[in-house]
Amino acid sequence: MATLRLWGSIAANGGVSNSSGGFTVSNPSTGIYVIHFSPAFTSVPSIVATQTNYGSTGEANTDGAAAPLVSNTSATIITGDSKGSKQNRAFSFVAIGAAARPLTSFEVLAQPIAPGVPDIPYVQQGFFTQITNTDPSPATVNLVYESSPGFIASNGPIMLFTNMIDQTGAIMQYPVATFLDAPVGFKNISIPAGDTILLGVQYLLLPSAQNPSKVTPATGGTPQNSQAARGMFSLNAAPGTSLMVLSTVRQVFTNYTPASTSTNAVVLDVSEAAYSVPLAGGPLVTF
Amino acid sequence: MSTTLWGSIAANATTTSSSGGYSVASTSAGIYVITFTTAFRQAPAIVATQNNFGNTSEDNTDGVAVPLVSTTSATVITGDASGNKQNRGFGFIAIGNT
Repeated sequence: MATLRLWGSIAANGGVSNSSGGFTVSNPSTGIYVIHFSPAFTSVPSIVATQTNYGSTGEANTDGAAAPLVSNTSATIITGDSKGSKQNRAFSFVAIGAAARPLTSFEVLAQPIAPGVPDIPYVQQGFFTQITNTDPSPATVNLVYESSPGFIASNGPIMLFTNMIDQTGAIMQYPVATFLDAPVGFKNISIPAGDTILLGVQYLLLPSAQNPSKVTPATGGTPQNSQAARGMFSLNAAPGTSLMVLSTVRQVFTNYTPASTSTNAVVLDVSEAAYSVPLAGGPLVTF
Repeated sequence: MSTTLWGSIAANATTTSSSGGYSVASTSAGIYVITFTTAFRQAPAIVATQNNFGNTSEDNTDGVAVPLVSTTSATVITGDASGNKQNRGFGFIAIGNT
């Protein structure tokens, strides 16, 4: 298990005086501050907070801070006076919790290889990760994809697909809505001892009733629809878990008839590519 | 070696999430004993705050105190704003040398 430690010194107005980074703060009402974690923890963190920087020794020792709402993605801090009346007060906090281990960067996209050019290849690129549980007991893993821009379920004829091939070789669709819940990724995936699974994320350009011409452009030329997510891929598992991990990029390049020569353009030909990407610390990952 | 233990503890003394390396028992209302699996070499520094009360009507003076800290355990007290001991969720961080 990787551990994420966030800390911050927050001014009474909600401004961040000093911090580890990795969060934002808002002050929605008097004495209430909401801290949003980014990236999210993979379980509820422990958070401690103390009023700081009151500005004089006239402060009461009972001027406290509480954290009544804590989740993977945020924590609500309450500050006030010694009578329990909510007041905006500066405070410091430390949040510690489980987090995924960063392994590599990734890019998932469906777009013309150069935006705005009509007669060029269209590329659809997916990011796939094979995980082998090398332990003698079952493992549960979480795969986290932090990206900018973030993943979306669909954009016109482009749809997000999240796939899994389990240890029996069965191919299944992982629910996109579950994938998009924070933290974005595959959650609580079980791998029997010694078995291997494969998880893939890809944007695919598909025909749609609203816009069928985007796949076989009636006027020729490469579709200009575009959607991409680029960021950091992380993995989390229980302490002691040993995995062998291999991430690959797979690409499909599709060519279209030039706009100037077609009245009913079709896909001309396809080329493909697949290659592995290096992972921080190598393919053997022990938590 | 510096060791950091952390935990999010529910009011009923179950562990919501944690670093591992300790166990928790609720010995009476508002009193929790955290027993460290591996003893620290000296009594660790420990901080704690009430967590997960469940709504923002909580009083900011709903505090936590740690009156007993040793190399092997820490006793945490939680309660309401008037000092009445009550079982409350809390988060803690203990740091020390092992």
